[in-house]
Amino acid sequence: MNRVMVSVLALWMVSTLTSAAFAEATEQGTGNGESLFGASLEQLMEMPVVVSASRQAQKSGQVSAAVTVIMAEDIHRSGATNIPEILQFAPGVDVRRLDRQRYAVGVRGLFGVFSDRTLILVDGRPAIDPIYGTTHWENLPIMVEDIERIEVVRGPVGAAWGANAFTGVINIITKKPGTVNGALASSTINEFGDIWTHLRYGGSEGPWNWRISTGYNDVEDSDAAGAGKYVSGAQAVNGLMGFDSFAARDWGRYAKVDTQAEYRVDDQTRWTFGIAHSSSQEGDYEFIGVFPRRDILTEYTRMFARLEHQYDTDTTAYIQWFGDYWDRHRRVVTDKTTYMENDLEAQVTFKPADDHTASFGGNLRWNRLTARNHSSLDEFLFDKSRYNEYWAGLFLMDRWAVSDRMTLEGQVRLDNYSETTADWSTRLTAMYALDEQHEHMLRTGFARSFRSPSLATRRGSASYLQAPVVGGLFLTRPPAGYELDNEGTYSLEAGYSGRLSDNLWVNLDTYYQRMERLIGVTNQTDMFGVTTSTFDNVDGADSWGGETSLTWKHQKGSMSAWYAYNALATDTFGQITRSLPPSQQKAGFTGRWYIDENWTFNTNYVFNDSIHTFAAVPVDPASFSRLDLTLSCKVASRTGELMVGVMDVLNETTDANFDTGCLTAHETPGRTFFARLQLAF
Amino acid sequence: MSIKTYALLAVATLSLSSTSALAETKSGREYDIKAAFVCKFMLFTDWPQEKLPDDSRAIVLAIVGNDPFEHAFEPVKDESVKGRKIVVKYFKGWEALKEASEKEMARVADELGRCHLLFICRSEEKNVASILKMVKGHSVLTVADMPDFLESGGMINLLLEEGKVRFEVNNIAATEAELKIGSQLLRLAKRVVREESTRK
Repeated sequence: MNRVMVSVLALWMVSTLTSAAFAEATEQGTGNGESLFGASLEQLMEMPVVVSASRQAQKSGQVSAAVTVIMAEDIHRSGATNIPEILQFAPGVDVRRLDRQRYAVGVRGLFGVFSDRTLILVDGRPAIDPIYGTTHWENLPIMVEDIERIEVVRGPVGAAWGANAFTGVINIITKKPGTVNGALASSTINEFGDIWTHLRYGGSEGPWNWRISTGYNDVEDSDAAGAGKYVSGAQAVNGLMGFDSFAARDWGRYAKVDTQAEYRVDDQTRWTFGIAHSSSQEGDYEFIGVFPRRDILTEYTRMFARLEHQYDTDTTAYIQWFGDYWDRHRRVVTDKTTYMENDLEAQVTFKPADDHTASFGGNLRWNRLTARNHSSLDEFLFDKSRYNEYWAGLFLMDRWAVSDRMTLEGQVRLDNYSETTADWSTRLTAMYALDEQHEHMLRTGFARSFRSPSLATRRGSASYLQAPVVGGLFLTRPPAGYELDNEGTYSLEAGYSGRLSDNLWVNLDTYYQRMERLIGVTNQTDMFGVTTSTFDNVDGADSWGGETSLTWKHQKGSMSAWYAYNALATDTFGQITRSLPPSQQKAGFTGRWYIDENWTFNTNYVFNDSIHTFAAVPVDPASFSRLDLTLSCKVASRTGELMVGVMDVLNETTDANFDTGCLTAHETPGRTFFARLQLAF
Repeated sequence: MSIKTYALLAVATLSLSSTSALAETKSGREYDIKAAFVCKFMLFTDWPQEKLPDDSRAIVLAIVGNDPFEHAFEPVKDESVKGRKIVVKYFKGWEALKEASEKEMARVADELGRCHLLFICRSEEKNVASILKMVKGHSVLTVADMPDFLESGGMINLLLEEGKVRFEVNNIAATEAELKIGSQLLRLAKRVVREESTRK
């Protein structure tokens, strides 16, 4: 049975199986199944309450950092089927599609597929591969409709989250058990026959709440989707690479499951547990001229257990364990990489005095990293097969309401990493309300964070075809006895958020960020013309700019427009920083129209300027505009919804995007029509 | 036309054919959410020891006036907050109370004074001051969803903003009633009325 028939069958089954439930759903009203009494205060308010800037819940207009919150409805109306596609519409976030599965994502630049300067969290827990320091977006065991909101914090936030929140944090917050009761079935199909299917069931029984989600995605490769033309950025070695035989193998099949359960011991105490897994089979891609043409197999498991207790109206505490297990086979590159991560964390929030809200806590983490090279053909090598690494962190923060108008917030954190030295982070912010209602807020701040070198940069080496070739490329680890230092960054920030009228809000954030000891690459060419590239702490960089947005909301709809200017200049012209600089100018627009109680129209637009990489990649990323349109209609007595839409109406996102370390790239499909059916019962 | 396009059209036709609108009860939904907020207010408020002397004492939620909640509190009637069972009591509005006997009025006043949270319905907007006077001095958390409730001496007011429920707090009134409203509530409130003299 071909993929299209499977997709149609899935959609038909979803709609048919629920027909018996229509009457019951009608009696229940919307059949949405939300359980309000199990929701938190913040959830009840459905207000973007931000936790990612300081680990304390804060109202979105009074946050100590520049932040954008993408709500569940924004995600739902966009029609997006993965998280990077959602993030590209957020101010200050750089997103470039490299192929149908892989994206380069970063806040305010320094991004790439191995970008390690933006910390990605899921419910406050890191989703970073400690071997390469990056996030494998396509393998995250999260279904898009299970996301409650995404908080994008721009600027160094290491004081709240520790190492590696260098340019920002993206915290993906999922819907909690008890807030999504009932069943949800969702199936999306596009014109290429790609499918995304999601089944969820949530329930409550006595002190228990739970939700179970399963999903299956099957995405065709770019060739089959009518795009996939390969482009070489190193034509002199095309023959050596076997470039003529390259084909876009960027297909992917992902099976995912995500379960969470909550047990309310009493009104003050709650246990939350979760286990999520993704099992994926993907095509392949070229890196440093190597194209294995073998499938990539990945197993990824995330687990956590958390105990929260409210001692009194002002004092709360939690202790949490989380564990990640990752296993990837990518033969020929590095045969097998695995990591096992165990983290124990605790936090107490209390009021030491009337006008102070303080939090303190810490974490311990143990990482076991394994890299197995199967044969001499493997290209990216590590000096050992097993590594044990340890982290320990302590943090303290206080929010002081100095007066009705003035609030000061201080955060400080100390982290010790077994592979480098202890380092520190801080964030000091002053917020001043220009009016009694706190509808006009000024913010100014100073922050310091650091980025620790990943295993790949400390212990990884690669050789092109295992032999010196004229014009060939070697990557080596630093010479024995020499260790990489942490990267460091300082920032000065200022911002304003204000309510101009009942329906109109404005936001402005500006920053200057100084980066030191960036881990980049130095190249040396010997007398034989052989180039050796070495990871090293190179020079620093300056980063500056700002983001502004204007939002208008009305009962019948909303509009939001934003502009971002993100500049970056390395101390040495053309310095390679293992990443792409930001797109200097970006702009976006979102419009939503509630046509009537059943029909909703949504549009998302983003523009990204071209990027001058100064030879960091063979071909600089070009500018593009992207316009997505969706139209939704309630169906099945309003228990369901049918959405039709088109992504990239302007068909401008087809360009082949090179990433650092890649000598080739290929086109990807642009304009894409899709349909989605969702039923809740 | 490719088979893929046919598939898309078939799905669209199949689903659209089952469209039938059912009007959503907006106000019902609003009061479901407000009921949940009321329970959260109970969770994040401390009463003086004499008001809740032992663990066996239930927490009493009183609703006075034309009840807009309908069955919104049904799910919590057998539940507990702060380890105490929630009891919901309903009272007639002020106009009906005025016509009752003095004895009945005294009984109602006594019962209202014993409750822990009093929700004053919108039907009582003109009589707020009288109702608040009835529970003054009894450490009752007063909640409503009407204009100028805080200015009338009420403690927590629920309001709608862009289709979402918000709340504002009169911490002066709460403090005078010996109630302690938790910092999380104060932090998330749209507006907090505080004593100027408490600022450092």
